[in-house]
Amino acid sequence: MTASVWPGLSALFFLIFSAFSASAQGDELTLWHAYRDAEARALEHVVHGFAARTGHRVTVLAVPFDAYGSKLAAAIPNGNGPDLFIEAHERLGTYLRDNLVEPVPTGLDEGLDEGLDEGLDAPAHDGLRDAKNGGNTQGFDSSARRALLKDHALFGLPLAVKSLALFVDRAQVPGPIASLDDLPPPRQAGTYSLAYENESSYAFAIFVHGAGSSFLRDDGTFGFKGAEAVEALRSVQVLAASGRVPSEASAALVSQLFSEGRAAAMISGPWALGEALARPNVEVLPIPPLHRGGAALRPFLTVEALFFAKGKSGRGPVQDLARAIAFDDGAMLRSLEGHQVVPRRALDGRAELANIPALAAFRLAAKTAVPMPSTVTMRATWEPMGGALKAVLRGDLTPESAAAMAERRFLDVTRPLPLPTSPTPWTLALGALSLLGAAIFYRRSREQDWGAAFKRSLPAYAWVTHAALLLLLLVGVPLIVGAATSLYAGSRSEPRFVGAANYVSILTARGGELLGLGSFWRTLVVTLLWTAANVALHVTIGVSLGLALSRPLMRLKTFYRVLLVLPWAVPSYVSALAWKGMFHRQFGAINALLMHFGVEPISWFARFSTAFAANVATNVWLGFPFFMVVTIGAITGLPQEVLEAASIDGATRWQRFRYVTFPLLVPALLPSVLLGTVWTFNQFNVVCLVSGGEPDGSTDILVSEAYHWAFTRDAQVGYGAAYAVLIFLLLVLGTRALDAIGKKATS
Amino acid sequence: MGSARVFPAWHTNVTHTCVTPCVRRVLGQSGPFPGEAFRPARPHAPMLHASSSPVAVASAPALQTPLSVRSSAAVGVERCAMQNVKKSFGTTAILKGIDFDVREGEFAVLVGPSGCGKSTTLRAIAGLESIDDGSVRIGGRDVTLLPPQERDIAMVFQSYALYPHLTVRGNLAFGLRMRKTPEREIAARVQEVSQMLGLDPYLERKPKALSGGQRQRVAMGRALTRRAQAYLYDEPLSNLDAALRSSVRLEIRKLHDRIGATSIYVTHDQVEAMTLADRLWVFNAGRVEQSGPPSEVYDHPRSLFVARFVGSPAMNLVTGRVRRIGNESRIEAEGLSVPAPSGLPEGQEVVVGLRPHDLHPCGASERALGTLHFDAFERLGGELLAHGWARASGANMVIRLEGDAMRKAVVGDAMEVAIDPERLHFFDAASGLRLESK
Amino acid sequence: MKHLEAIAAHALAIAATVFALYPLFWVFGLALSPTGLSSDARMWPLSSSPSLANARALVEGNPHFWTQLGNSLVISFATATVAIVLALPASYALARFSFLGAKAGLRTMLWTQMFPGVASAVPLYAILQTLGLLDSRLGLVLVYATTAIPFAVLQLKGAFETIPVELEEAAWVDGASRLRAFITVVLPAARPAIAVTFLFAFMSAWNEFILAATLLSRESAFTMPVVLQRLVGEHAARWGVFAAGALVVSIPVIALFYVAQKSLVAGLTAGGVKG
Ligand SMILES: Nc1ncnc2c1ncn2[C@@H]1O[C@H](COP(=O)(O)OP(=O)(O)O)[C@@H](O)[C@H]1O
Ligand SMILES: [Mg+2]
Repeated sequence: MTASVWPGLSALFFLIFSAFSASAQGDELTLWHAYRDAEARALEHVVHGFAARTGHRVTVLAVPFDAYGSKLAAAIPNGNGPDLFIEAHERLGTYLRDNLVEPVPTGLDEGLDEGLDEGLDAPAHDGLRDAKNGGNTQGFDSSARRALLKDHALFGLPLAVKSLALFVDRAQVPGPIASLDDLPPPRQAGTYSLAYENESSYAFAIFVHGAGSSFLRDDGTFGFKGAEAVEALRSVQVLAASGRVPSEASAALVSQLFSEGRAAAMISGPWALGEALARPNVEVLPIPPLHRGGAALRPFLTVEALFFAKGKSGRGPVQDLARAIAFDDGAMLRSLEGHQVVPRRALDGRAELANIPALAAFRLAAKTAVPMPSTVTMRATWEPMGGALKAVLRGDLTPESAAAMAERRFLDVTRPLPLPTSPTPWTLALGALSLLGAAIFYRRSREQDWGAAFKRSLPAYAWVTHAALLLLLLVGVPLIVGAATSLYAGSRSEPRFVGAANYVSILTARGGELLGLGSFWRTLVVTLLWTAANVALHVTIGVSLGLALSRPLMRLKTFYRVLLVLPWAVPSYVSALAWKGMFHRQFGAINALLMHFGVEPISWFARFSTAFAANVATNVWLGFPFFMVVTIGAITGLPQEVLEAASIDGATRWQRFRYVTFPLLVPALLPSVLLGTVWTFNQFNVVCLVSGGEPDGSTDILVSEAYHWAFTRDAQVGYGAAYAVLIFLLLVLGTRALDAIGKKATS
Repeated sequence: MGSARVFPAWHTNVTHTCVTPCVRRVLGQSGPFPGEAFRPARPHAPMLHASSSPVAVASAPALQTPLSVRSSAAVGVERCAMQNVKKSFGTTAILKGIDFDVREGEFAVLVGPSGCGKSTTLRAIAGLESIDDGSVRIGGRDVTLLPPQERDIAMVFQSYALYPHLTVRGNLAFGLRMRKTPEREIAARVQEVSQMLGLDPYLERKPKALSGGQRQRVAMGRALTRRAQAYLYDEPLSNLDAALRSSVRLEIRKLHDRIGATSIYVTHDQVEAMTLADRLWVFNAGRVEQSGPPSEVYDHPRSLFVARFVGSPAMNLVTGRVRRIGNESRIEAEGLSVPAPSGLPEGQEVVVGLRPHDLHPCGASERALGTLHFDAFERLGGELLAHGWARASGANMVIRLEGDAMRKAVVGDAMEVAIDPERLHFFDAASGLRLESK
Repeated sequence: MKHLEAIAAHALAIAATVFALYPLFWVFGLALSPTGLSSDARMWPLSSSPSLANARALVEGNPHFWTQLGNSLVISFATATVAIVLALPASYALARFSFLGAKAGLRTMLWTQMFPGVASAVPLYAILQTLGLLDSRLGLVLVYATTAIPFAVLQLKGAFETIPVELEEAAWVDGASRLRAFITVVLPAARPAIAVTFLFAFMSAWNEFILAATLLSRESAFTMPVVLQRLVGEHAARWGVFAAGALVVSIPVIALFYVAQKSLVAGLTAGGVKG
């Protein structure tokens, strides 16, 4: 089926690849999920049981989490998608907008008193509703179910709830815990009362809700403002200053501190259950208030649910499969084997679950948790909230100005789409341009007799056509389409032609400060700085080494050469991640080195200067071998007689280098320097993997900014494309200018 | 060497006395001529020695290829020809209408100063360069539009162009492999050629492990393993040192005769041209200035250009006007006085050419042309090239001295010189064309 | 003076070698340490009791490990092969013929190197989808090959330009067609440059992870970069296992580099990097 599309090369490719270009097609049931490890195994167990029982064939596809959303959005409208897919409820808004999901068929929405639902979509009524349903051990927890309601229709069957809870080491904290204050103070340096991911917006949500603030209001506007927001920031600031919590704690560090007994308690989610429950004396509790008598600290609630893909709910087998997964038996299995916290009333008090009290604790925590808003704009809150949080923890901003900044950034990202523009003037302009082009083409063809030239070129075309066609299809078309996308705004499912609005918005820094954080111009300055620093270091180090290793009498030449190209040979993402690890504040090698020499450890990614330096160090490490090899090659290619003539003329070694070798080397190196400049300018991997733009996106370069707009900030593909086009123009003009300067300098 | 006087004699030797040792291959239709084997239906293919049968293979076991005595009848059949070939690169015309034909067994040399279009001509024959006008025929076929591989020619490049990734053996066998010759025959031919060229010790080496001379031999060998309609050489000796050059030159000629090849040889070196050629084509700026056997070109240069170019040392040229002195027409030219050929009007400006080898000290019974004042000598051992002038402002004159005259000569001396009037050359100063006395 | 210079040269080379190797040793130590990254900062994560636990976790904790490693190898080799097979004739034509559109084509190819992939990823995705190649290795190979072709063409064009035309002409005269001469004479003469270009194309596929993560869904179809990246992604930090995997993916490329060591200098110099 793949080959027929590709008449030209298909024969070859088909032979090689038909063996494995299988795809999930056919008359079977397909289920997509993003689970891993125990959860994935439990799910497969359930599905296998179903398949064995019914004889249906079920394909279970574990899709990498990062690509999940875009794959669904691409596959479902084309009919390539799954019948059912498992996804967190907060993406529901996006999927509804993109028309990817269907309501749960009525037959499956069992055990609910429909009348009660009317007008009671509020947490305050959960108790009432649960009470009304009381005795009725059917159905899902209301809190979970409510998260999946849109306009009174149920979208998706709740499978599992996830929220943060408090893990307590009962060996250290035997007494009751009415507030976080009840956790014992640190015993010694390196131990903590409480470990939690203090720089993550997700964990910060606990304090936001505790202070009575929110990420988003019910009407979808930004909620994190005013006195409550300031209070939330101040509470984490105080907590951090108390020394009772570790700073810059990643998820891995949190679980490590807790499992080593160096933290008396930790805040984490059900995903940590497997490891934590392997130890004795660990108890899970809903998160208590910050201080005795204070407001409850409420985490976000995520409901993982089974969704019906558009157009797939009607089939009987699909409904059967959904029932098998979501209802009691499947839920029990997932709970037992996958440690999932399942919001099924029927499982309350079941003996099998009695020896995992933590699951019940999580379910309890879920009931008071705040369901994460499922509006499209929710995803746009993470970056601003995280930025404000880190700025306060670092002491860069007061809570007041941090809160203000968060709101500004949120509005910046979610600013209303530009008004649709009529494409007519653009079409006219394009038409006029192509007419002009055609006229010029015609004039020139008359002048140069292109017909004859074309005939002469025919033999050459036999050699280039296949490559040209493939490049046109897989490079040219995406490029042109990509560039054209920059004239559109909005999501992929409802693009809106806006003309040059994206460009205007980018070039005017969206009306903000021209050199403000996240503005095009500021990013451009950073990018230029980044490129200049890298290329200068690459060339200096590479050329010095090349010269040193080209000395005729150098010993161990080959030995050095073999070792020095290693950084080039190691895959760049591996090196980038390794360097990220080396720059880690707690267990990175660089800080260890510094400490060895008595220097205070540095939070490398907390400040622009150090984060930028870390990126540059990584990229220099990656890039210098290339210039070394190019230099060695260029020196090998130098005319030996000229050097000999120079030494006969009495030039000293330095003079020979300065007046002969160097001038000859420059033109040979120039193209590589240009190439290196282009590569560095667009070096996405290093910036993305090492600093990830930290702090606050200040080390982002233009390409990573384009990436953020296109993929993470509410997928504003057009906006990202406009960035890409600007980058392209900058590079074309820049390399031309550099080339001209280089040529002039050498001639 | 380089003596033009011995040349005509040597030249005749080549065509006649060489016959005995110069056994030649059979050009029969069933012979192992690969071109023949592939294209038996060639319209004008030489059909000589139809009686010689392939049995010759068995009867001549020492030489692996059937050979037969060269027949003079071979001369005369056209092998390779060009008609009115024109070629421009961009707007510059490089070949301005070349007519050219080489006959079976002939050694043709294209000679001319560098940049005059010799290589372009050769490459046009090979099909490496397309032509704008005219036609090329090889072996009687019009090959103007055929690509090189279908023209059945072999070529030796100036840079040798040895395949760096193949051994000497691989290089020698390459052309045969391309023509799907059976491996056994390839082995035999390679063996034969490598023996002929003394390449046996190097057969398994790669080209970069060879000296310049050895590489040159491999390049030749690569052409010679083939049985081609014509062998083309583009300055094959220019990368060799002088001693090697002259010995290889002789060898090329011998090989040519031995295998009865038809060769077209390009050089800018007129000595090479004179020593090798059966026929010479002197090129000047994209045109053939003169063609003919070397002796004819040497003895009767058709223009000043040819006169200047052919012969070493170069012909002395002096300019003067025809003057009638009494009943005698003479030309007074830069201090020399020579008898004018008959039929020239008085006052005509004439360039007189005198070959250094033809000048000699004035004998008792002779009339002197003038007096040469020597200012520099080139002593070559057996002979002396004496440079001097006949009139202070006149052209530099060279005379070849030998024997007593050579031994007695002293720089600063003067000497009366004479010449056999038959050996004088006259050119119209305006057109540069030869003036024949009637 | 000369001694001083030699000392300086060695000092520079040694410093650079330490700089180049330290991260590699660090990863190596990490791979052998039983605890992965510990919360203590250490210059050498190498523990006193090296263990193969990480390697075991990498291989045994992942039922698809060998398939995934095989995927990476197959896809990378196929990519390099396809890219080279397509780039060879194209670059030869650019080096040897002058034809209408050659200059424009070359310039465009340089320009494609400057356009960030971010913008073209989405349309590319759509195209592959239309072709039905979204979830297949073939699709990935095609995409990788096309991204590798422009650089390969520039590189090989430069290499072909350094090969004397006479070599080919000799072959034509010897009876080879243009194609035959290309295969029997030009290609062998360009071997170092082809080897280096192959290596680069191989590496570009071997190292790519963004597109792989987007275009592949089945765990058994993953390539190693996707596997490794997920080990230290947003929701996991299995640094020890990652380090073990890093060694696994680095070793083949290092081996190839070692083999191509000699060609590297020659191939790069002859190649398009020169212009
Ligand atoms: N490919 C070419 N493009 C442009 N001019 C050329 C080309 N090849 C040769 N020429 C020019 O044609 C003239 C004749 O060249 P050539 O035949 O090589 O001379 P020669 O007699 O020295 O062998 C020279 O002036 C040379 O510059
Ligand atoms: Mg020439």
